[in-house]
Amino acid sequence: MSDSLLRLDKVNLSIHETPILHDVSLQVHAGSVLGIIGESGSGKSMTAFSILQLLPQGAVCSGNIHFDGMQINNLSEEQLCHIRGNEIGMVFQEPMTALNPVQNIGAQVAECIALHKSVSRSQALTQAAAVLERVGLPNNEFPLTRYPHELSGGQRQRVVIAIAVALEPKLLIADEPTTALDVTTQAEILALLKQLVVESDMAMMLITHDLAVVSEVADNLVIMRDGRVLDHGPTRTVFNELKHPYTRALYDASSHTPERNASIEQVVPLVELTDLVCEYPMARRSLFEPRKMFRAVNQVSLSIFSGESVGLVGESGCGKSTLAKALLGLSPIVSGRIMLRGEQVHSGVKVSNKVRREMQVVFQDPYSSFNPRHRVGRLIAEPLHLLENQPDKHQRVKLIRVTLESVGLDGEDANKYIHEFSGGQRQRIAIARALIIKPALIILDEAVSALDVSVRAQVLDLLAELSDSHELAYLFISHDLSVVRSITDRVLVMKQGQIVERGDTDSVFISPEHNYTKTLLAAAPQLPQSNAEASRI
Amino acid sequence: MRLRSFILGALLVLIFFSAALISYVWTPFDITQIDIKLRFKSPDFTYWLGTDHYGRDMLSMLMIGARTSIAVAIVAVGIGMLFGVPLGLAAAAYRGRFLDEAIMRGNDLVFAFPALLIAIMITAVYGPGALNAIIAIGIFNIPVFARLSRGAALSLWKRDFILAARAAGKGVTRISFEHILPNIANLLIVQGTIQFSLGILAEAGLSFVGLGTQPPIPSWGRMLADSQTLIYTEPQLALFPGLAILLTVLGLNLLGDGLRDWLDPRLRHER
Amino acid sequence: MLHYIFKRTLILLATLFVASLVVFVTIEVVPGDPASYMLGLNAQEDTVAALRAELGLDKSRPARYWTWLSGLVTGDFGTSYTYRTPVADMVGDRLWVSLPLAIYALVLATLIAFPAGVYAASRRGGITDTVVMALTQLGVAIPNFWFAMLLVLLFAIKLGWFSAGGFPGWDAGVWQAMKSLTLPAIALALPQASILTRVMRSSLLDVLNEDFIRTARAKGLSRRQALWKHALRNAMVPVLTIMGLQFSFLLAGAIIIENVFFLPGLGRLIFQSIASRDLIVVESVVMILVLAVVLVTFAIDLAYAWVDPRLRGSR
Repeated sequence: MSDSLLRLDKVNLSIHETPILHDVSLQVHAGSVLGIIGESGSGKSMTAFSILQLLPQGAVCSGNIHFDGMQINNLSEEQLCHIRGNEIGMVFQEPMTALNPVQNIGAQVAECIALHKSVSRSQALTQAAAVLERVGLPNNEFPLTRYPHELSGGQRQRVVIAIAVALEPKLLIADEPTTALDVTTQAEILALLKQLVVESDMAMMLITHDLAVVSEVADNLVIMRDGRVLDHGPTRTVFNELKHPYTRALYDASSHTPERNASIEQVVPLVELTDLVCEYPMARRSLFEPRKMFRAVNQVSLSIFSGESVGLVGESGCGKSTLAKALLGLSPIVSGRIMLRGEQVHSGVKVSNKVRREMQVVFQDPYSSFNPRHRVGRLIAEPLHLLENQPDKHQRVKLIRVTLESVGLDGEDANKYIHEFSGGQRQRIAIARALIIKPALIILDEAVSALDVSVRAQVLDLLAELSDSHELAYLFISHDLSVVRSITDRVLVMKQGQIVERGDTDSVFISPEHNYTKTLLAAAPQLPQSNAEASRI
Repeated sequence: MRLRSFILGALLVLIFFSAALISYVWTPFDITQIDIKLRFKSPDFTYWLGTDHYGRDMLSMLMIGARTSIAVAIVAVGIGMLFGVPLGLAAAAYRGRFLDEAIMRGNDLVFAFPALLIAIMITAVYGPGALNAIIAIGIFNIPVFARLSRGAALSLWKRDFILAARAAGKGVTRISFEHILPNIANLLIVQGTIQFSLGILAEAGLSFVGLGTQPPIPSWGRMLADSQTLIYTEPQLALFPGLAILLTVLGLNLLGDGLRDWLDPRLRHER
Repeated sequence: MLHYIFKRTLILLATLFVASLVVFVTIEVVPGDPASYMLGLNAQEDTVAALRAELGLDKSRPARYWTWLSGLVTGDFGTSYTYRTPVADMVGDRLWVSLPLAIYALVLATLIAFPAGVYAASRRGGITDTVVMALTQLGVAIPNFWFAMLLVLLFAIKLGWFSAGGFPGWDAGVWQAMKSLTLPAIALALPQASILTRVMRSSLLDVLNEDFIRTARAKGLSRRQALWKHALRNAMVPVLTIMGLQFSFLLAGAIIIENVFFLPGLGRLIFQSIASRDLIVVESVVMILVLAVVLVTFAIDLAYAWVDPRLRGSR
């Protein structure tokens, strides 16, 4: 096609002889947005890096890459430097580490301008100020002398975007630009990117794992897996037809709702929190001032019945993880009361093992949740420490096997080390560790947030099945509204340490009352309805 | 390339360790026998490395010197680990609290006294001796290991598996030994070899200026000090003890680098 | 920023105070009486008593500590037991040998290590990198006093370019003085330069893997520009730490090296004082060396804040 701004033709890439990309072909039209979707390891980021030839050491790239009517993959390093930042801008996933921590933001934006245009330093800074203004960082609030550590994640991402669009490039490559951000910030950044694309008639390549994010922005889609392009076409067509089986699987997994048949008819709640307050000390600003305390959880009350799944939703820093730690007795509480089955168990600092036996936890990061030096059997048996009568060796081995099997793993896995398992399997092991002492409540702290959608769907199914078979209650903490909606009976919305809204999941999602809940729901990207899906039902 | 230098390091360390061990049961000549007639012999088939100003066999002297160097360095590193690692673990477990602050300030204080100054102070009080060197180098090793283990332990305390262990009701001490220590063991081994080599250099330096091992016990630093006055006439006497120190330290450093590459899974993935 | 400097200053003063206490207590536990040692076995009781009074040894330990400490602050280090001259004078002369030597060595080490480290990092895996790394392995392993002897053997005895030792004094001219410090400075500097080169290289390589380097490259900076403009300053923090630690090694090393070259520095002074049990001189010299180390640590702490804005605190 003649009007394509960027065209990749059978691009192959290998790093240290490991093949990464296989015959990747795609194109981006001038002024349009191409979404590239894939799970981890699909090669979507490497596709982006090979366009600018910003590849790790040992990478070998072949094939043709045409940009603006010119083949660019065989250009000299000097010629590539001229294109980078000038004609193609790039935005990265991690705003926290994407900026130089020892340079102020003005210098970092101005550097890009001064590099490609013959302007004086002060002119470059004036232009940098204008660009920062354009990406929503007005100079009176965010002077050029600010350093990255003085900005929030969303604000840093705006600086990265400012660097990328400073010279009004023809193409903007955004690699998971919102993945590390909260929902409302994500919505703002997406809106900003859309606005910039329209304003300066720029093309954009948006790389993401999130179908819903891309469906709102992209004109065309490319779906990748294991370094290959599996499906492509206009966004609407791809979603409507779900032609390729993998596209359909992704779509299904993204909107997956596990089947549950919970029945809750109790008078006494399993766990009841009343007016819970947690604080932690802030960094000292001056030697002479007393340390200020930050109130992370402010007068929170909630109750969970046995067998029930309760969602706790909020953005980062709202206090939801502190609340979970307080409940587990890992974080001190300032005031308030925790009752277990109608008995007061916690008013001071220490929690008894009797309480801990009833509550276990699964964390977000499947990689840091396990001691890499212990075998799986020892890992999942750790909570047995809480039992008054320690099981003998034989019972222990049996218990480990049964628990592993109940989360869908093999009893033999007990002898392996944790690095032999994938992320999804590790979360199963984490669930097994929580399950082994048969607790009444499991706190799931962002337990599926780090997983790919297809794996996430499987883990959600497992959780639903276990809650039915073991009469388990869940406190499901997450920032991801669609997941919370799919697995919880009741939901609480938390903001700045307080619960601002609570109610049945469906009614809160359908008719939210508090403004913050409305903002959250509006900000959450929606998966479009698919005709293929509709016709199947 | 990396593997080759690792093997070279291991080989050098092996040679000097075995020389030290063999010297307990056998040396080519008896070094307590002084025979001035035999002094300043050049290397030949009888005296492989020649003889010194008392007519003692250099090879035998070097073998027994290896014993001194290695013993001093091992004990000094042991002292550093024995005190430093628990201090570092405790500081990390109670991070930000008074104990942590006290341990870290104590570390800063010791860092203000280079090992040589400690040795000088001890010598000023108790007179010179090999024990000085051990204590001085050992004290200086404590903050090294304390800082290393605190730093590594701090990053481990942030990991979720520690939270999981706490949720399983385990206390600070138990977590430190069950979860933290095995995970920093590799780092400690690697640092141990580095401190070992620094210990050999430090012992040689202290003996050279007369603050360490005292005659008649042979030590490499002492041998160099003796050769210094004879450097105009018999420069070869300075050659072998210096080479012995250089090669032992080099071997230990290569071994340490190799161990780090091999033990650090992060680096292994990169290759 | 002020808060940071204030806190560092407090730590500096506290460290010095505790260090003085440690030095005093350690050395004062020494058995025996300096006065009777100085006068020999046959001295009269009242002569010894008079000398004790003159040296201030008849006072209680806390009182003597206080006299010593307040003297240190005002620059009065007391009177040498052996030479009966003010310690401050003895130390002052020697300091003008030891301090220039340590600084000379530090400058040499830095001048060698920075280019070598940056060059090796920017050409990682190349032949130059391999050669530089192999040389630094040797440099780290070589004992500096042996290296000093080898330098004497080659440049003084064989080639005769330098004198084998001694110091003509600064009165003989800066050129002559510097010349006689050159071999000692090289002997001190080379092992330190090797360590610094390795730290510089590995720190740079770590930083070059950071995300913000990718951002810089995406702006259109070449690999070399990204290294100079973005990586170098970020890589400085570990390098500064090592330079701070090295200064104390250099001072300690200087004491040994002064012995090889017969330089009239603090090192020679301290060994003579130990031999003659002139404890007040030992105490003072140790304290001066500790002061130097602590001041350098303080300067390094300030340099951190200059390099890394995150340490300056929010405005």
